[in-house]
Amino acid sequence: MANSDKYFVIAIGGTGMRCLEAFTHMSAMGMFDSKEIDILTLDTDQTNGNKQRVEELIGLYNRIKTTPGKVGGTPNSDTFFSAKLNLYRFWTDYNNAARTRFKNITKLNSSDSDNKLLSDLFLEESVQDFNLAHGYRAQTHLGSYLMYHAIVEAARNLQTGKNKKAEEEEFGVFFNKLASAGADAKVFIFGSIFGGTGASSIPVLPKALNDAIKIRDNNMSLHNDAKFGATLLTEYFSFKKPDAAQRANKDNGVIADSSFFTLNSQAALQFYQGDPTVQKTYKKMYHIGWPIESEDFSKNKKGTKTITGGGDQKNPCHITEFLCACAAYDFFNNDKGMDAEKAEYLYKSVRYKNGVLDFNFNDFIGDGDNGKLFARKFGAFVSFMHLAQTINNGARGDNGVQGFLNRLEGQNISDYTSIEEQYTQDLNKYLNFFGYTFDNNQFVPGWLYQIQSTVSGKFVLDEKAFTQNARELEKFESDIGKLFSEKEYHWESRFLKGSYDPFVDKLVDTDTKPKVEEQKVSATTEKFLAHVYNAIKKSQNI
Amino acid sequence: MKKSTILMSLLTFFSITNLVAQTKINVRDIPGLITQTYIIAIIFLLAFILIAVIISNMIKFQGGTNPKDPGKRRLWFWILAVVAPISFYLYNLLLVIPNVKTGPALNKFSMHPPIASGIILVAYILVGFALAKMFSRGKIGNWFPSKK
Repeated sequence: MANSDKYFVIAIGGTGMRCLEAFTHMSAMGMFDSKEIDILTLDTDQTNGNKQRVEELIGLYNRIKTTPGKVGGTPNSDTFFSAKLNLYRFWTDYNNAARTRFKNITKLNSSDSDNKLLSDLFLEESVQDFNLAHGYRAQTHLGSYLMYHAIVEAARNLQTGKNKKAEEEEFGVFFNKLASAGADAKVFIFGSIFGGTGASSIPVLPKALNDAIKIRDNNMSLHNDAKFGATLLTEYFSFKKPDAAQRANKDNGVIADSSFFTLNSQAALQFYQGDPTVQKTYKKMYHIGWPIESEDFSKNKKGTKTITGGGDQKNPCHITEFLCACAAYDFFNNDKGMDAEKAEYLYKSVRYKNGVLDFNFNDFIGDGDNGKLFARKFGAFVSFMHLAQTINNGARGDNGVQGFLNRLEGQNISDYTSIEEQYTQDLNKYLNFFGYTFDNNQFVPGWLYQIQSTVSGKFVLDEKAFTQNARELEKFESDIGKLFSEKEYHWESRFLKGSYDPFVDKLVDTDTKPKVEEQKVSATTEKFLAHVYNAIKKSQNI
Repeated sequence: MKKSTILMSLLTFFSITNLVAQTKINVRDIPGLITQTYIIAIIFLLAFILIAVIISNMIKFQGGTNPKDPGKRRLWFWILAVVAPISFYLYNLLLVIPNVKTGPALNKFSMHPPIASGIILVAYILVGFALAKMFSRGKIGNWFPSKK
């Protein structure tokens, strides 16, 4: 990792959005210290529930990071929310009546045209005629063509200034930054290889971006040494098979069928193995798969139809997406193999026995120092969540983050009295997304609990850390210091008082005050987060 | 360490109490008794401060936006501020004064228990305030309201 590196993340399609969600939570944990990362969300479906969810999450992240005079804040070091994330959004416009299907976009109406014959050669009639508003529906041959077209079209609109849309301008800022980064650009792409939008875009994106940059400014191009990395995420979820009634409508003439995901994955892997352009463009590709039963996204969902996209496509998160975010960590922090001529394919295995997968802190970004770093950051953020959500009742509608401020003020530490309530509410809301909430006494799992529920074995921490039992959560003051099964990482515990008392002692200790230079924190809100982080770090002693 | 200090204090207190209780005190011994009374007042003061510290530390930090623990510590501090002079006065009234000969001896002594009780109250608050400021970030920092 060189100091001059410029970091870019592109999330494509529903799966890409959920990988980005994991990436955002890793940033909140402080896994991307001192980094400024430009993020592009790329989808065909602006209303997609997963896309909206991650964009809301990043918006919240940026409100938490924002300091006086600096929207989105600045990068910090060794604290929570340490990376600066700049979000850019681009989506292809398939809602306009003239652009809803391949036939309309390509103006294929005359049956005798050469183009029509060419299209018929590659695309079935139903593929040419389905509604694109919900994405490419696992038709990657069509998707690659259309995504390339959409990117180039956006660049042309930006160049001419005609029909320029807001999302195209955001996209323009992103690829200008990418071009300016030159050889220092490190671009990581999130998306699946078995579905529609992600699978369609990953192979063509570097070329499409390069062409878009050239169209925008003839003197510019994507630097030859710009480094691309991506996940090769094979199937890990399934959903209800579409029935004939749903397919009867020509808009839904093609619907992705998850029973073909395994086949799609195999075909895609063969393509990535053999295609010289992909091999040359990408430096690292991370194989991520799920060896046990796929998660059924239709489970517990009302309705008989297959959800093809839109606001209803708000699928729960899965550990494979978290592993994709960890792959991005490796790509950004490990320069080994970056000079190679051909793509390097990377994978890592975890313990698997009797159908059960066990994950410990060495399984995510590597073992040794990296394993400890992961344990420290992940453990600290889960602790922060439980302190705010469980002990300070943030999950039950109280403002759990305000609880920290009140405690500090109550113990005569008045450094943070200027922090506004809106900030604490935003941070509390972020922790709701990350951890959990209660809605009418019903447990509502956030990202962490959704991820944990996809792991049948151990997930880094002791199972007590993931309890959903209201009574156990009420007594969490005694368990807050025992999130890890490893006793050496337990917090100090006192007779009849548990671990919360020693934690507050550390919180009010002068030792844990934020280190302005070292942690690169200057605003009061940044100092507050660094202060809480330091107290947790000192408590868990990892 | 804390336990042994408490035991020592209690032993000293009871031995002095027994000594006083066993003898009838006449006017000649009153100056000594007065001195002894003020020494015991200091012991009372220190003992009650110690009790306040122990109780404050026993009260757990609570979570939430409006934790009750600082209020509990403050309440106990003020309860003990009241109990300390009253118990000292009652100790003198019930265990010391009955052993003082009525007449000049009692006249000379009787004003000192209320004075010492008053001193205990004032000194308890002053020492408490000083300790709360010295350890403002700790649990005893809750004895006096923090600045808003």
